[in-house]
Parts: sequence; structure tokens; C-alpha cells
Amino acid sequence: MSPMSMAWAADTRFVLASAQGAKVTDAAFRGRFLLLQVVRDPCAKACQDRVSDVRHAVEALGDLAQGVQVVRVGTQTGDTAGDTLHGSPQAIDQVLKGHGVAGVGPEGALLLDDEYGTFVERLDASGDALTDRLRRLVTARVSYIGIDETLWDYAPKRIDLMMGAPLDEHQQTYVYNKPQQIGSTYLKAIYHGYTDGTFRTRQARPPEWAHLGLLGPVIRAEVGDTLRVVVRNNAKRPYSLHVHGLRYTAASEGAMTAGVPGPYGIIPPGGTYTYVFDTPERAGPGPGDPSSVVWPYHSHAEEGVDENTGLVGAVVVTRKGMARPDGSPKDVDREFVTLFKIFDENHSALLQANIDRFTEAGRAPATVFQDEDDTPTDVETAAWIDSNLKYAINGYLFANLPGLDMHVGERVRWYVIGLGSESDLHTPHWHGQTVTVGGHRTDTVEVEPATTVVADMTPDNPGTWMFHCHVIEHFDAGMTALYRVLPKSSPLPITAEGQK
Amino acid sequence: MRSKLLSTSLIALAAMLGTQVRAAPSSAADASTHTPIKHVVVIFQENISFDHYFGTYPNAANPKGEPAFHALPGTPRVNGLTPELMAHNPNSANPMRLDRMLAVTCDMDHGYTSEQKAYDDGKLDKFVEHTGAKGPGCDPKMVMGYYDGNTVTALWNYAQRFAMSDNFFGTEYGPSTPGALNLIRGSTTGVDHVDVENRLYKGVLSSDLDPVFDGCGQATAARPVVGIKGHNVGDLLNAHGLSWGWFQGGFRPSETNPDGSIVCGTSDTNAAGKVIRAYSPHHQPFEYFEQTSNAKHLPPTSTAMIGRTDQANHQYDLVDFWSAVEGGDLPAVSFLKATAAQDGHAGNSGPIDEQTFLVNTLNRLQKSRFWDSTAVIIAYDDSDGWYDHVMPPLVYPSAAPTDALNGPGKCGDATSEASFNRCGLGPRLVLVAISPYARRNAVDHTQTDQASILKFIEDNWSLGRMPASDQSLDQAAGSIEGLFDFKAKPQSAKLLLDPMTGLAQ
Repeated sequence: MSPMSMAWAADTRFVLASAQGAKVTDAAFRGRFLLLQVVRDPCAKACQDRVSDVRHAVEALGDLAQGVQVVRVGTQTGDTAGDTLHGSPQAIDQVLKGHGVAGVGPEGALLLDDEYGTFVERLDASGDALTDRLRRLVTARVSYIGIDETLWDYAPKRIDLMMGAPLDEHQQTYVYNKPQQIGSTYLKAIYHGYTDGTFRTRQARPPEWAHLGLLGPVIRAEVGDTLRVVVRNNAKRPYSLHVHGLRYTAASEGAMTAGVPGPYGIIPPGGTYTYVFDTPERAGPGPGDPSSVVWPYHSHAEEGVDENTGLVGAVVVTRKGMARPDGSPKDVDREFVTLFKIFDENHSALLQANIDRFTEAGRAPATVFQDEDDTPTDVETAAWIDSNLKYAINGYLFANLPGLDMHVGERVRWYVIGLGSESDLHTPHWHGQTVTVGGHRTDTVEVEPATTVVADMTPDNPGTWMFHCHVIEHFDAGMTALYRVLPKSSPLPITAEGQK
Repeated sequence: MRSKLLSTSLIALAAMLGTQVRAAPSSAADASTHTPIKHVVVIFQENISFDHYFGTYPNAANPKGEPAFHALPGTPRVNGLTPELMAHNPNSANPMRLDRMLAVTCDMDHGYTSEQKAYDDGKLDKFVEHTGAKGPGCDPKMVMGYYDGNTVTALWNYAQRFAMSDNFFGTEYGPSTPGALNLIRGSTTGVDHVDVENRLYKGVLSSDLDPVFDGCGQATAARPVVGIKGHNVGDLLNAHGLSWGWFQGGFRPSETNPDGSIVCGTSDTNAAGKVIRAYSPHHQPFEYFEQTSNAKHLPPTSTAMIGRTDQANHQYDLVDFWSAVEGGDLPAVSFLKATAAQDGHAGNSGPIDEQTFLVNTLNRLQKSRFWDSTAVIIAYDDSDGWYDHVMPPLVYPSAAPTDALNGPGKCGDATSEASFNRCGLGPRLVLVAISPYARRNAVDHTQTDQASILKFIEDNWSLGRMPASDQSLDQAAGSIEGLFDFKAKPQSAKLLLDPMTGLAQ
């Protein structure tokens, strides 16, 4: 099945009529959470019971209830309460379909939209459980994440910062742009943080996250939290956000499983989707873990291709009681998230766009050659494919990764993530210091695709030090970074916010 | 150092030509010319066979909603597609009209060998098999496709007001670079490199290897970059102190790497919405010659120096052309090459993009103060492999391993190695002349080829011919003067068109 045929986004717009016959649209309710109760007409006993159950559940929210507007919709006028919006059967079906609900039970469907009109979840609970779920959803930690097509530069400095020298001929094949070599800048799809559900303003990345590079914003939780992650797909093909470790229903899986009905969280171009994640104990640190753990998230509409296209990020979950208000672990001074992944641009969804834009027409060995006598040789094709393999840390090559700065004596936590394919067997190694992982001391860890390591460091050795994959082929191809340990009192260098 | 070498070689060339290096005229308008034309502007576009654009001229299908074309009374006929060729074509598909909605098509095979196979011993019946598009999603039968005046509306309207040829050919078979070299030199010989299979044979280039004197070129394992030991029209113009330049979209570097190497990474968007890299080194023929190259793509030192010898060495970006037109002096001879998105080449450009470029260029030029003494020649580097029904006259036989016209290794009966790997004439191409001195609504039938444009320049400024060592085909080429009438009163009315539709503004 193609990602497009799986893709779905809510359409919460409606046009209905008030009991007095005035036209009422969804716009009248935005700015608060909207709890739409679709009732079967006539609203018989079971329906009346549900109406009153919902009313009580919302009242039980206390002060929070002010932020939630309940609206009943049905096909008939003159219902008992007199405050039901009504519309034709087609209009009601449209409301249900727009929320991804097929058919309605005898008690109707209860649908929650957020203050921007983005559908959150269908609610089936009743009584206290309904109140509890509503409270969780209304007070959830919210992230607004846009999927944007944007240019990404793997090596903006164009030099090997580890050696402080121009790139040699082999290194240049990954960085320099030529007629049949893309170089270091590619069109990619990247998760960007946005300030709110209008998706108009990109969230500025704070200096401590400048090193994230092309990773999406870090999603945080304290065990017990519920998360709402609202994703807008501004790109030209379906994408999703699939998270590891957290608890979700199929509707928030961001991946399709055969035979499971309903939306999967695969978002069509232009669509917006709310993922709801819970963080029970099993989503947070285990008995042998430090106070926080890391999980990757990535798009899973076309698994593999989406990650190579650039849609990757991290979730940090902190142990219950160990989190600051922002979710970060209290017993840590500084956190770094590093992804070791070979971005295989040969298998990016945007390969052809990159060929068109960055190579001379007809030259890239990936394109079909029209001139028989101009067909590329195997050697040329191999060189082309290799030039599109980016042995990157957070999307940076040759120590171009900025912002790995810390002080002597700080409690530093490194979240190390692997993603990719069979070549993605990485051994990140710190020069200059050691770390502890699960109570064991080392200076080198192992990550494979979708595995993670949490390593704690208390740097005692000031200086600028290498942090690189110790697989030599990967090291040679640019999977390197520098981190700086400054004396205690030194101000941290001002690090650019990263790429726009 | 370079300028000293350059002037030394100029004097040597002048000696060879039996002339003195003349004092530079203060402007192109002051130079002595054989005709009233003081400025030739060659717009050298990409990859269009004659029938692909003019096969049904002057009759367009005129479907509703498309820019309409109705021929003027008295429009002469062209050697186009007959009812018989339309309905019973010897190829495995009949010609088909392509609609303007098809803004960018698949690219066809336009290799030196493939094209000869398509012309199949004079039967012209193997286009689908040998030059048809082969990519996934491409239909090889589309090679039989043609556009009409509802798509290439501007070119048809220019033909109505000015002059065109229906008997103009590529000097030889094959792709872009041989066409570009024949334009500026009438020769593809003298390549200073060992043979490269299918691409270069005994120093004669039949393919698109990148120029060695272009910092934006790239050598790969199978594609060396090459240079040519020899001369081109730039040398002749320099020897006569005349201003000239090759102006190409995307020539200005987008970036300089830390090691000093340059990147030509600019791009623009074509009608299909694709962002296309602008610059093609192998479309820049002067970069194959050390003495006329600008390897680092340096800009001119001033607007006044555009066309004259400085660090840019006559090789420029298109933006420099307009600087010269609007703030300096239009050179005596200018060659314009569009960005890849607008050069008309299937795969990366198309007729709508090309029309935008042609019309914007022509509108602006007609409004310039140089127009009264300017001749614009629109010509093409190759056919792309698109079907054309005319068998090119076999003027230059060849017996190279790359030849295939009359069987493997055979293009006519070649007796002299001098013409090996230059089988020609090649496919029939579009040629349009736009000038106050162009004949009006005229179709010239004189047999001409790319080297005829070179010859016109040589004759207009009395440059003489290319040195014998270059084995140029300039002397043998037919004259394009039939497109002009230098005795009649020049046309003063301009023909300003809409760049989107090609209709009169």
C-alpha cells in the first residue's frame, strides 16, 4: 500500500444550524477545547444518559472545565436541552468522517478538538475515567512540530574542523558540489518546532540544543505524563511521526499495520495530526537506568526512506519525581543528544529533486541515460552512490557539528542514538574523558539501528576533544565531532542557533 | 602572465592569417562591416529538430484555450510533415502533436551513433528504436512528437515577421558539444587527449566531455576533461580588435571552496516546477581552448570592459550581457546560452521555458539603442534525437568505430581521416533570424549548417577563415545571407511578444 493511500488528516470544519436556525460553523468554538458529542436522534434514554454523563465529567474538571466547550450535534431540532446544533444526515456524517470515525454507536461519538481545531482523540470512557482522560489531554505536555522541506548543509564550513584543514580528495566527494556530485547541501524534510498550533512561527532553538543539527525538537516527558504532539505536514508527500518506547494506540502509531482499522497517523501533504502518547512506568527509566532515558522518533510512512529524507528526532523521559518543570532530570547539569546515522541520500524521497537542483542535467549516474554511448560505468556509479552516503552525527560531517560545549565538573548526560541500515554499526568514542553506562565505566559505546545508550560524564579534563565513531571507514568519511570542556568559570562560547 | 601569453598567441595567429592585429574600434558600431549589421547576437538553444517545432508550420491545431496561431496571407510553405508522413510514416509510430500542457518531456537519445542509426542508411525509419526516450515512464514513440504554433507560438510569430530556414543542419551528428564547437570554429578536431571509447576518436570529439579549462567541469573515472589545441572565432575577433563574448546562465560561481575551487551551483525553476542547476560546462565551447577560457569564471573588471579582453577573457554570465546592453557597449558578436531550465533541452527544460527566455531576450534587445544594427540568430546545438523527415546531405563522410549511418563503422565512403568521427551533415535544425534587416515572413531554402553562422561572422567583419590547421568546415558551409535583405529599407516596427503565450503584446 502506498503511503498516500494510508494518509489521513482530520477535517474538523463543519457548518450546522442552531436551535433557532442560525448558521453555526466550527470557527465559533475555536480558542477552547471542543467536545463534540454526536447524538442519534431522537435522543433516547441511553443517549440522554450519555449527555448527562459527559456534562458531569466535564464539570468534575473543576477550573479546567472553563477551557472545554461541550457541543451536541444531531439531525433533529427541538431536543430536550434545546442547545443541540443540527444538520442534515450528510452534514453529521461529514463531521464524523472528518474526525476519522466510521459509524456511531447507540450513545453517539465523543470527539475532542484542541483550541486550534485540530482533532485530538475520540473518547469512549465514561464517569471518572472520562474526567481523568479529559484532564490528561487538556493538561498534556504539547509539542507543535512541522515537517518542512528545507535545505540542509552537512558541512557548512567546507573544511575538516577536526584537522582544521581543507578536505582531502576523498573527503571532498562528500562535500564539494560538482556536475555529477551533489556535495554537502541537500533538500531534506526535517521536523521543526513551532510555537503554537497555527504553525506560523518556528520555535527558536535554544543554545543548549544548537547541537541537535537536523534532529527534530527534543520531546520531553516525566513518567506519568500524557503528551500531545501536533504535527503539520508542510512537505509534498505523506509522512508521520512514529515514536519508540512510549505507549500509544494504533491511531498514534504513525505506521500502518495490516488489518487494523482507522487512521494510523500518516499525514497527507498539508494535513495536521495529533499524536497522543502516554508515559507509564515502562516508558521511563528501568531499575538499572539513570534518571532519564532516550527514545528515537522518526517518520514511518515509508520506513527507511523517511529517515534518510531527514525525519528523525529524540524523546527524553525522566523518572517520576526526578524532573524539573521542563521535564529535564534534576540530577543532571547538561544534556547532549547525538544521532549516529549514515544518511543514505540515494534512498531519500527527495533524491530526484536533489539531482535536478544540484547536478548538471543528465550527468548523475542515478538518472537513466538517454544516450547509449554516454552510459555511466560501474566505477562512476559506485563513486556517485558513495558520495551520497553521509556518515553524520546529527547531520554534520567532518566535525562541523556545533555546540558540544560544557564545563569541568558538570554532570553531563549523553543520549546516544543509532538509526539506519546494516552499515549503521557505530562505536561512538570520547577522547579525553570517560563515561559510565549502567554502572560500567567506558570511553566507547555501541549503537545499532534504533538502539540507544545513556552515558553520564563528569568531565575532569579541559580542552577540545574528539568525539567520533571508531569504525575507521566511518571516521574517514566524516563521522566525527569535537566537544569542548571549559574551565569552571569560563562563559560558554556563543553558539549559532544552527541552520534555518 | 596570462595576458602576455595571450597577446603572443594573438600575434602568432595574426601572422598566420596574414593580417595585423588592428587597433580596437572604440565601439562595435565603429567597426567596419560587410553589411549594416554591427552586432550579431547568436541565441544558441538546445536540442530541437526542425520538424519538432516547425513540422506543421504554418498550420496549428488551435484547440480552445490555447494561444491561437493563424498564418498571414502569403506565408511561404516549409519542407514540413506531409499528410503521407503523418499517416503512413516509415517509423514504427506516426508523428504526434504534443500539447503545451506537456511543458517538459522525457529526453531523447542524441548520441552521435544513435542518431546515425535512426537515419538508417537514408531510410529515416528507426527513430523510435534508436533515439526514442528509454527512461522509466518514458515512451520511445514520443520521439515522433512535434509542437505547433499553439506552444512554440513566439517562434512561429517571429517567423511570420522575420525570416527562417527550412534547410539548416547540424554540421554533424551527435550531442551538444560538437554542435557548439562547430558554431564557434566549424571543427571538432584537435582534442589534446587519447581516445575515449564512444566519445573521442583520434582527437575528434563526438560527445560531451567537459572542458579542461573550466573550473566548474568535472572529470570522472570514465569521463576525462579535455582541451583543444587550435583556434576559434574568438581568436579571429581578438586578432581584429573586435569585442565579443559568450554569455551563459549560471556562469557566475555560487561559491568558492576553501581550496580555491569554484562551484557553479545556481539554479532556477522550470515550467514543470522543478529546480534545475543552471550551468552546463560542456555547453560553453570557448572553455575547451586555453586562450579563450576563463577557468575561474572571473567577472569582468567593469561594465565598459564587457566584450573586451580582461580577466573574464570574453566569458561571462548572462547578467553581464544585460549590463553591457544597458550600461556599456553591445559587443560586435555575442553568444547567449540560457540556464538549463530555459535552454529548451528536453528533460530539464521545454518549449514554454524556452519561449520565456527567447521572448524576454528579444523584447529587451528590440528596446535597446543597438537594435537598428543588430541581427539575432536563433539556432540549436543538436536535435535531441527528435524526429525530422529530411535526410541530411552526406557532405562529410567518416569511417570511425562510432559511425553507423550506412552500417557499423560507416558514414558514406570516407577516404580522408581528416573527417573521421565528424559524420555530417547532421539532423535538420531550427534557424530563425530576427533583425530590422531580416526578410519579412520569409523561408530561406539555402542549404546551411552550424558553421554557416561562423562564416557569416567571418564575412561580416572580414576576419578571413579559420587557420587550415583547425580543419574548419567554414569555407564549405552555405551562406545564411538569404535570411536577410540588406538593400531594402530596414523594418522599424518591433515585435514585442508576451513571454507566457508568445502572442503579440
